Amino acid sequence: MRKDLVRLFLIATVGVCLARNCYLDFIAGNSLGRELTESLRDPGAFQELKAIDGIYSDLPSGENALLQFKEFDAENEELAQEIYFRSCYCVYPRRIFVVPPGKIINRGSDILAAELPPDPDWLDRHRVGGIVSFAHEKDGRIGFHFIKRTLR
Amino acid sequence: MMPVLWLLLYLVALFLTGHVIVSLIFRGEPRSLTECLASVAPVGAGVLSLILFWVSLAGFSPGRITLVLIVIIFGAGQFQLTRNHRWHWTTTRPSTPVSLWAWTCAIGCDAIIAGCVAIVAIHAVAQPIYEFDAFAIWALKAKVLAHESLRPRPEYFSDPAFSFSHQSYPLLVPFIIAGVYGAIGETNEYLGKSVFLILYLAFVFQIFTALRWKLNRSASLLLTTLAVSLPPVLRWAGAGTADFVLTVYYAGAIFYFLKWLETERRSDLVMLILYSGFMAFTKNEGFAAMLLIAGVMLVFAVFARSKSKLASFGLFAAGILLLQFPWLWWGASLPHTDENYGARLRPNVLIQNLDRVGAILAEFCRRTLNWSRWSGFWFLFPLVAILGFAG
Repeated sequence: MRKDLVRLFLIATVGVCLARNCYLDFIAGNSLGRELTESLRDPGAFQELKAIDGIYSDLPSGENALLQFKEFDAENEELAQEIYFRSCYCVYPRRIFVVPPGKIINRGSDILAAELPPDPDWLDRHRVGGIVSFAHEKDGRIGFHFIKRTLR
Repeated sequence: MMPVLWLLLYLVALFLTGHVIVSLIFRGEPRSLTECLASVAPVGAGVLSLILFWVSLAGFSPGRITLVLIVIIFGAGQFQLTRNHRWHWTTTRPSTPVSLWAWTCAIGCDAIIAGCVAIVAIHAVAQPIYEFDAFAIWALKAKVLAHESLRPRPEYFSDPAFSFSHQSYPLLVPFIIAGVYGAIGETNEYLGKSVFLILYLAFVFQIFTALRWKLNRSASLLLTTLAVSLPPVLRWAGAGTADFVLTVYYAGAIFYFLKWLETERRSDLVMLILYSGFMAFTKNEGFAAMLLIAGVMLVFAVFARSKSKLASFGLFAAGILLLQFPWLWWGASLPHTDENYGARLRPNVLIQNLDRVGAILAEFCRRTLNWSRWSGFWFLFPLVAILGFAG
């Protein structure tokens, strides 16, 4: 009798735990199931990443890009980091130059600490065919400009 | 359409490699079909990744020729095994009529597992790589490996501008994805992540097989459903990071370690070596877990004063060294300019930061005790511990 009761209690507990998992997986506001359903319905999903990837769609193959962050401060470190990491992933095997060669980049602060001045000779030597500048717009939002360069 | 067909070539290579190797390891031993389904994909992915690594070291990036050769070699092995009737996967039928409770349990659990598989499938195959670590570390490496062989060493591995991507991290996951890119001839992150879905399915069978070893069918199914529906498992299984792959290999290593402790069968030891080797080639944490297993194994062997256990430990060490040597040799000169936690584990650094321990522990406790974030498992865990202690 006692054994049966313990067994029943265990099964009920596992059932409750399973229900808890199902709630966290499928029903809760921040559940993966809900996130996925919403992102499949929403044409604007992953817009930020798609926007970063889209910047380089005009960059010819075999040409690299220079990335600049104008007047970015410590508050924008994470954003600079995300833009740089995603850009590197997106354009590989082409390159993104953001700091002078030899500087270690682990996080946003490394990117913002060392600016790479766009010297035309250097850019040509490194086959930089486009300059992407991120800056604060007049309305306070952050926007970008892509300037195409002709290699000499 | 063509990339999907080439993806099939990759998957054939993965399953053939896994099946031939697992069949050879379990030669002459009756093993359950669920154990076959649990081990073929993880072993196949691990071996395929190692082969692609060795081939890359020889100067060839992952491509169709390599995959076709793998299919031919392992296909011949499979043909030989089939000719010798080495199909030893067993299925058991219940000896007593299945109760209504067992049927209800099976249907309910299967429905939840199907829901979880659907979520992982959508996450893996219908979503881009959007997790920060997934694209900045693993997918970037996969692109590098698909594009260039490891000889000569790609500039990526020494350029400080890529330090953020942890250049010294092991390459199993990047090679799994790079293999897909090599097969389909392009970078397609949706198809690249498809292997994660297969590994999740294998994980379901892996947990079931491990539980079925000691429990009845219904209890195993219930607990399997509980494990594979854990929110962190679901969140990371199809994300494209290495954490879930590490979990699969870690679970396999623990299972075969426990089996080896009980049965001392050579086949379980070989599976343990493979899973531990793959674990160490997946993440640095996997290397630490492998060392932990080795340490526990040695302790058991010494305390049991068992010569056979000591010999098995020697075999384990030799096997791991054999699997790991090319990576350890090649990776020794990689830059450690990122977090490099290993190098920070020095007494002076620890003493210097001792004052931070209080804050860390307080935060750790605060988060741990926030039960609203607990998944089902953590409610069950203390209860089972109490019941186990009491009875």
